[in-house]
Amino acid sequence: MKLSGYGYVFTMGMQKAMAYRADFFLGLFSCLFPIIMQVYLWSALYAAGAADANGYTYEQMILYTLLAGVTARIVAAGFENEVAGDIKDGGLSRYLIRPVSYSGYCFARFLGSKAADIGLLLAVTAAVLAGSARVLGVPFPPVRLGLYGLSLVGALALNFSIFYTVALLGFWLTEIRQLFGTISIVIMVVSGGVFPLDIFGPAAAAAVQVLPFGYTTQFCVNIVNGRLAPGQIGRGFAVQWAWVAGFTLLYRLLWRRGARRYTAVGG
Amino acid sequence: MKHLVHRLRYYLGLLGLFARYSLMEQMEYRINFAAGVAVECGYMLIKLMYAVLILQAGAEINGLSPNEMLMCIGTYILVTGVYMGVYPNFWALPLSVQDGSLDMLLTKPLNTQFLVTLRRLDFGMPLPDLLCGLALIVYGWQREGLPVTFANLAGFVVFCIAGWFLTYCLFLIPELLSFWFVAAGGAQALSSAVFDFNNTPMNLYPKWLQRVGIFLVPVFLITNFPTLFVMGALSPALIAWGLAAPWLVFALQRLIWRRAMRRYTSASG
Repeated sequence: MKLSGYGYVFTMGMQKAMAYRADFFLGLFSCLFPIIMQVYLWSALYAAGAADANGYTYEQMILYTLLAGVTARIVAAGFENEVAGDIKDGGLSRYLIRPVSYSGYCFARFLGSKAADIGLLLAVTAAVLAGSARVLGVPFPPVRLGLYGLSLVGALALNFSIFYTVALLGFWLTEIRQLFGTISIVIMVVSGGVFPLDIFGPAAAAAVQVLPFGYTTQFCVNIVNGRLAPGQIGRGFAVQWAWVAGFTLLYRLLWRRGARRYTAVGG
Repeated sequence: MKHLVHRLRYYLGLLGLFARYSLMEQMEYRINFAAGVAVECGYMLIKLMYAVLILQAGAEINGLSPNEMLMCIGTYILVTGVYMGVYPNFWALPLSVQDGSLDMLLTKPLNTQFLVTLRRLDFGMPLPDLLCGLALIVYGWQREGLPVTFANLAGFVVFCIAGWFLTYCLFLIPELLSFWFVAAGGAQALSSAVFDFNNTPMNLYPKWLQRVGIFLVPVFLITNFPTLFVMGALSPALIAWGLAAPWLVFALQRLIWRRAMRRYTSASG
């Protein structure tokens, strides 16, 4: 398929996401609540002098809380049920007979469905950073902001490849939608979407550096809040893209094997 | 009175039947049952992270000791477990409005809300929550050295039941929005986010937010009041409010339910 074809898929994804605008804005509004809750939790813990946060200052932790909620939402997947549905219900057949890469189609649709979300959330991020610079007195060098933007690109690609790989397990497992629920929650936790994992001890901190999940949220946020030295940022980018490449190879392998055993039962 | 008792018996009998058929169905698809347990374990992991943070901190915050805070979080997990038992009905309601499958339920000679919200009972998802919630409550209660008297136990159980009833009424309302808007995913996300304010005890929030959560959108009653009652930290007025609020929200929810039913137009079927 020509590149313009994926452009149409992107536009369709965007139109679908915006079809129910009240629903869209309510969903967006809902991500404010956990952020508010955590800001009060950390404020109370730091005020009581009781926060054991592995070296995070109060400012860094508040900034982490504000940005992690937004970043996790920016990179969130959510297309895996459709892929599993296509495999299970036979809808995949219509893509197999067309000159289209199914992964490319899914990626274009994924980006399209998130475009409006990402646009709004980046505006929210800019407002959060401007507000934090004023209230918390934390400076944000433009280089770090640029690197944060760049890390989001890698995080989106990584999260897509992780969830696409998991979704392709649908070739072997008939009913895996419940499994997606579990995996999504666990990935959200281990990516640092709720709390930075390094506050739970050195073992958790080491695991975050090695495993891919932290490179979808925690790595991006820690670039902005100044927790990472330039060398660590460079290494982080290398590991992030290595994982993207690793998962891309894995899903290509799974696709080749899965497509061979695929039997259309409908569609 | 005799008629009321007869109706109550009839509906309790039906609830027992629903439970039996739901259990039989879930035992037929055991992998799905296990997956439900796994999903809920994932959510519980998030709630436990808050508990770990509070235990790690180990300090009294705004009048609550870490053990009392553990009791609040344990109550939240416990009430969530009971709520998860009926949640599949809540989740399915917007879908049945969208595809018109609600039609069939409307034709049954039963109270429609009873049928729509209680006909499927999940036994897998509540399991980890009930066990973990109970363990946290007992652990916190015992470590805090709070007296185990009949009054305390009865009060705790009554406020837990009131909390569950309040959860049922309060969080059915967003699902009813699907009668007005076709998609209800945003409303569901919003109500989940509001419910999650109970991840931490209300004492951690500023006074204005506590008042909103007690009187306006009474989510803090659900998981804070049982522990506060045992601590003797509830005034008689708050005890009265804690017992009255679920009924007021129930009345409001019934009003919205009736309006929603009047608005319903079958989409297909």
